[in-house]
Amino acid sequence: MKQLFYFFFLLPAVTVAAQTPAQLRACLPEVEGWTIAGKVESFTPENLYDRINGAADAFLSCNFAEMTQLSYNRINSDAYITIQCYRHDTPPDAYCIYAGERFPDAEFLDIGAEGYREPQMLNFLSGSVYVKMETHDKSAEANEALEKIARTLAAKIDAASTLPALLQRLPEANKVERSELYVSQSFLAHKFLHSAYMAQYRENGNEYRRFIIDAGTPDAAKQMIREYLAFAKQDAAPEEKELIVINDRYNGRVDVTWDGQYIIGRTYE
Amino acid sequence: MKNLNRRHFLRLTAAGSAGLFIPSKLPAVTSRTGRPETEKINMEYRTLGRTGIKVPVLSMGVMRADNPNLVKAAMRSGIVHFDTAHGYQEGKNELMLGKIFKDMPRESFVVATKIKVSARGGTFGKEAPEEFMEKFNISMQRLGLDYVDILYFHAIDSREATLYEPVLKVMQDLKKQGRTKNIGVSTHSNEPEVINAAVDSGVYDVVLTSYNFKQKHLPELNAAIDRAADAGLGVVAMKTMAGAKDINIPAALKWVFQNKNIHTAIPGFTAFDELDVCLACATNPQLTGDEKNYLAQADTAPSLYCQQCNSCTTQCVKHLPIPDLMRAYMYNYGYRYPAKAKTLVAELNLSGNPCASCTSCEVKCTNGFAVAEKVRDIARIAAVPQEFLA
Repeated sequence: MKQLFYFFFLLPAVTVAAQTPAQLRACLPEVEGWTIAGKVESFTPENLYDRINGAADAFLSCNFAEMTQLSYNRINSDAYITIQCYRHDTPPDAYCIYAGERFPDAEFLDIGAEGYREPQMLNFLSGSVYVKMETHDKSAEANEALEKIARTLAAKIDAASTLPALLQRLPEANKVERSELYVSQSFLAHKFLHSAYMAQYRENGNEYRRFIIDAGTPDAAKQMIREYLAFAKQDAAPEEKELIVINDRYNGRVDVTWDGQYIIGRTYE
Repeated sequence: MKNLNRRHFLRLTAAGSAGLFIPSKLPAVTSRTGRPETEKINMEYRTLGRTGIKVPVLSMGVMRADNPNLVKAAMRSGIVHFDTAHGYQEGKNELMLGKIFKDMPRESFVVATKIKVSARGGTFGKEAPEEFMEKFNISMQRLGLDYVDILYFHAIDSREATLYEPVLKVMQDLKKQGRTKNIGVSTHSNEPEVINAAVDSGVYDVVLTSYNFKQKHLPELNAAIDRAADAGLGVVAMKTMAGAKDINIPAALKWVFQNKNIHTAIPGFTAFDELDVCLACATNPQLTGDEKNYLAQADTAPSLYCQQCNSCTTQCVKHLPIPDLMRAYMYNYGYRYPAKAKTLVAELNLSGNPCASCTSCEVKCTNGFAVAEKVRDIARIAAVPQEFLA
């Protein structure tokens, strides 16, 4: 019976836990000196442009589902805190936009899967939600309020949130700290490579990037490499765990191999 | 604003290296068609109004591109105008372009950036001019340029905002100083009002507007665009794909090119094959028979989801809240968000299938929806236990 319901109401969506805008508002903590604003705004893929304009494209390309905007007002002041909760289809999708926007020199915090603070702002990732908080209030109280709200909200959205597990497969040696990214589609601007995790590396003055693609199955991984070879007009019969050098006319040399369902590789340009 | 400065200065110095991969030179390579990549594609050029800038009809909206090799491929193909914004990818978009532009002759490309200032309740605060200036300086540092070709007042949706004097003055001063060659306004909604205000201002040189074949207010928008072009403003089109994933890209883009008062369009391609498709459209912008048919069908085909026109609310004999039900339908089947659909349906306090006792439906949806059918489909969700939806 349960399966029947899934078929009726779209399996991919129902497997992802998600708070409604009202539930997100209910997650907000009381903060002394501040009141939670009554207004809750909600934006869908159809109208995200109305709130963040052209920046919406980057969110949409990471499978954005809904954004809820909440706010606090400071008592006896015109200061306020804006909280934008961007829910994506999956935690990796949320990581996609979070990692794309984060800056590695920020002050990182143990909030949600990861969070960071800069003056008058605090962003964090929790489950499939990327939360961006901002205020124009430069006071220490505002800074404390940001952190209190973030810690409470992160725990209530997904207390068990972690960074995507595939990131652990990128070697630590020579990796540029917090350079990891997730590209959710058209990796290296090739549609057939779909999504990939990648990180930047620095070694003996040289820079390169390592990446890992989860093709789903070993056959799919092999097929993806075949497509890449066909694109590069290279004749080769790829074997598992064999290094293949692809001369990509757009991206330069790309080293790839596949191991089971995973394609791992390096780019140099 | 000092904090803003510090934050973005740090981003400029250290952070930009993360996530961006910038080759040091443009490799000489050959395309899959065998033509050298350095060969320019033969595209129609149009002049951006009184700016005098001649650009191909195809430009690049860089907002989603995170691979500089894609931007370079566009450059090699003859695209010269690149559109970014202060806020795209939290500044990484401008940083990426800056690194590409670094080794290129300044006259070989045209760059536009856009700056939005904070507003609450549709009203700009007193700090708006300072904020605009601060963001502009940061953008210039990221881009590594002495000047931009077009500086837009970004995401404007009203006449009042278009003519907001304190920011206009900042933009005019920047133009006098040569830090921007031209000033413009960008608009994603209420476009006709904004474009007409830009014309009336006598100040703006360029308008950047949403423009696609699916827009509901095309007569008004076309009239405003014609007026702007007649007044000597450059007109740039964005959102040319109507924000849809399954759109016929050649048909949508060529449709934009048919309007000679649109001087260039900035589709946001993110893959090399999408670039090739856009280039093919710009090379041969004539619509094929199939593309004309697609556009004609799109013109008459019902939208996938309710347009919330509320025309149906007086037609239903049971006075059902049909727009709300259709919104729930969209949440479930469009956005794959059944929990939200259930919440909305539950709030409506309907029982079972509210259409069950009607033998025929009096509702004539302007979009041609089979309303009773959709109501039946979505009303069932009220009976689904929450545990199956979360």
